[in-house]
Amino acid sequence: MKNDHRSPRSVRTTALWLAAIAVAFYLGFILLSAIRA
Amino acid sequence: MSTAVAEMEAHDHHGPEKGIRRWLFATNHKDIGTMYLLFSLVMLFVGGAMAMIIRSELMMPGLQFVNPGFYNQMTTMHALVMIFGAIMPAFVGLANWMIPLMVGAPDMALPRMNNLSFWILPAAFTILLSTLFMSGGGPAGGWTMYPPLVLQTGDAFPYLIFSIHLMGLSSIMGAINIIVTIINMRAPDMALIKMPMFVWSWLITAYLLIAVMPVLAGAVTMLLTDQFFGTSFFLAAGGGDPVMFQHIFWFFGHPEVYIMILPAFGVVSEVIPTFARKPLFGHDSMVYAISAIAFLSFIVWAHHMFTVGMPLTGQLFFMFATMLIAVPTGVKIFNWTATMWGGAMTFETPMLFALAFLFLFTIGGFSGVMVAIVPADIQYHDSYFVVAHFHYVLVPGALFGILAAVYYWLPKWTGRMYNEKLGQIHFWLTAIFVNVTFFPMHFLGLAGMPRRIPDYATQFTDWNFMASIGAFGFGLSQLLFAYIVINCMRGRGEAATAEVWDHPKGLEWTVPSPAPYHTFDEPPRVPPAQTFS
Amino acid sequence: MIRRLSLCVTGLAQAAGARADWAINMPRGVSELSAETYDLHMMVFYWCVGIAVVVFGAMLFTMVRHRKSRGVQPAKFSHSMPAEITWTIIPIIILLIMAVPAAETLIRIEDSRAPDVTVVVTGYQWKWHYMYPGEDVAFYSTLARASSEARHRGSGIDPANVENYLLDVDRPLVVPKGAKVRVLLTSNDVIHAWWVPELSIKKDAIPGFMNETWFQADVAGVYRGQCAELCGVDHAYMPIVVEVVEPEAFQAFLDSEREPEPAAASGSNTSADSPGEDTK
Repeated sequence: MKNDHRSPRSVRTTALWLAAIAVAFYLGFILLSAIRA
Repeated sequence: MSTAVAEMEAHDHHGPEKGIRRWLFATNHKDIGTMYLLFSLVMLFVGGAMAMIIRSELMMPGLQFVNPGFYNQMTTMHALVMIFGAIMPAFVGLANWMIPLMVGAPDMALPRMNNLSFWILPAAFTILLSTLFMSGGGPAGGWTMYPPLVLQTGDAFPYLIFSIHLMGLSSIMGAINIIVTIINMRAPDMALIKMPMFVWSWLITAYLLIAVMPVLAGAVTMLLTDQFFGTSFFLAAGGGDPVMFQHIFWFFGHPEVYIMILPAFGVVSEVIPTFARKPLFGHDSMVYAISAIAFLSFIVWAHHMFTVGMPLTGQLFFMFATMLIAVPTGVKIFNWTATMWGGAMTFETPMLFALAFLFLFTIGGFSGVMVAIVPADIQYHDSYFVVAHFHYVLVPGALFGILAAVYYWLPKWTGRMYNEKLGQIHFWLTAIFVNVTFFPMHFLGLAGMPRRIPDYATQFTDWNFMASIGAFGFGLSQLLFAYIVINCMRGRGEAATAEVWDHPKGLEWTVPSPAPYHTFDEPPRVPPAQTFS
Repeated sequence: MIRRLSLCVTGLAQAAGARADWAINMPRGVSELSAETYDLHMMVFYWCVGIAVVVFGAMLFTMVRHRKSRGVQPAKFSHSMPAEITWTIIPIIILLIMAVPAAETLIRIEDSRAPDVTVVVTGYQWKWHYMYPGEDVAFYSTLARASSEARHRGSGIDPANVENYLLDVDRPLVVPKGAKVRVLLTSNDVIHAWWVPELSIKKDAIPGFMNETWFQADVAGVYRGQCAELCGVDHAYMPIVVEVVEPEAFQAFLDSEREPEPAAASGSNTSADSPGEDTK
């Protein structure tokens, strides 16, 4: 795409951070529940 | 640099692929948006058919058509289909179509992941709907899947869990795509605060999705392990706690309902200024209000659980926090009204749906304040009063937001004006029948009718009869909508201009109608007239 | 049509009594707390109506006045700090006004100290079990036979001909009038909920856990409710009936329940339980 003024690195970084948050919430809730249970 | 650009230009614009490849391998945000929207329309009718079965059975006391077990499958699946198959994908479809256009980006940040996000959904719903035909039938423990009841689901159980995981993955990837697009691919002139409200609403919604869809995934994973792998997260006999599931589920569930309404708020903030010919009142406050609502949505989850046996302090906290949400929500209602005030309004179909939203969502908001009051909620909880409340905020709320958006942007997508006369008829039929269907449910709940029952005591007959008539009318009226949309897609109707409406603001109105397959190959200069602050 | 209309009128007139057709409001109930709950509900409702009149009034006014067809030029304003502050502060004040009585009532609801009578209620799929601890009285309470025969698809029985259809049981819970009754609630299988609107009581029955709530009925009578948490196929078919009687009648009830039953020749009455014995 010509209007690609994003830097691939910044896209990757943002996307990975967000994915990490998702994974953290997933695992975090399961681990917390295991401790609680 | 310019030679590289010239070379790319030479390779570009052989047009979209031919045949099924165009759709199966789509990476174009417009094509993917279209697929999401059409998928959600189909799911609306699937969920709607289930609602028709429910309302047929509830029309008279006594069991006429279905057995209680199947009825419970219908209520469960109706909710799952409508929430995860109709409302959410419709908003994602709108996001896909409109966000790149509104921020001046050529496409979404991660086009191939975008494709996956969409195609997961037909697979997930094929799996979910196929459970209706399995031994033991489909899931029948409510869309809320509380244990231990949900663990009594038959063969369908692992398929239910798997399909929910798939839907969650689709939403999470979609949300990542949306945030990255908004943060990284806006036109250089467009500061965050200058973005249109629809984009803002989706930015915030996407964060909510990323935070809470994994929590739902965690909750259903734990259901799975309790059922098959010997864990006891939620089984008292093994030292677990069924109520903990409810906490985890509603930690997802409450932000989920805001996920379903915030984009509708965004749509209304686009439509009303256009048809009032006046800028949105208090643009910055609207952004703060949406942010406040999103933040508060994380700390009110237990208001879905007031009868579970919570300590007094907990009940008081959740009551107060829930009541607080009325403040930023009220600000939005008032600001929309102030946008209209002093304007020069016309009432084309998108505006009709936006105004009906304003009225009827507010009614849903009032019943929301009522259910926040714990002593009163003890009477309302698990009764038809709650069913009335959430259908008011979801149907004349979220769904009307979607309908307003479709009518508003359909000419941009297809290059044709939809039939305004038919659109108005669709609107009035829908608006009238939605009230005939759901308003009596307030009375039923107050009179003592519980939720999720296929048959009821005879004193509930009259309002149930009325609600069923309303439901049939409402359902039939949506066939008219499908006709209007399909007609437009097939090229019938007046040719639309780029602006379509009367000097609307926004970059999407600076491209031709229909929008070309590739737009904003060059980043646009954003003229001051197109900005929103 | 006439019948519908007259039912409508009677229904509206009996709005406080939720047993009429076309009922539009919850019952005031027969306890102090149920009346307090009702009053709270009405107060919040009236606030909502008041706000609605103002807000919808403004919306309607502007839709009529500020339309292009009247030839008006649209105004340009899009900010007003004073307005925004006003319509932020006023709702906060209104919410505070509602929150205070709500909290007070809630605190009273949660105070189950010093009960006069205790009952242990256990939810089953799909019936209730009632036990009076220390009294040696316990029994199951299931959907009454007439309802249970009529409710099946193709039963050929019109529910309109069944008295208290789906709201009747073979053996009601009996409690004394004017006594503070503590209810201990649990379940044998899945989550159920025990709801009697006229006593303004609803609490979940959760397996493995004991919930506690209470009520004090000040008027003798029969009060009917239903299970209020989806619990499987027959969730709609496990009603609750509470019979509030004079204290002497309550003692008589307990005594009669405690006595061993004489050998029943017909043995067809499923309610003839010996105390503490399980029945189906």
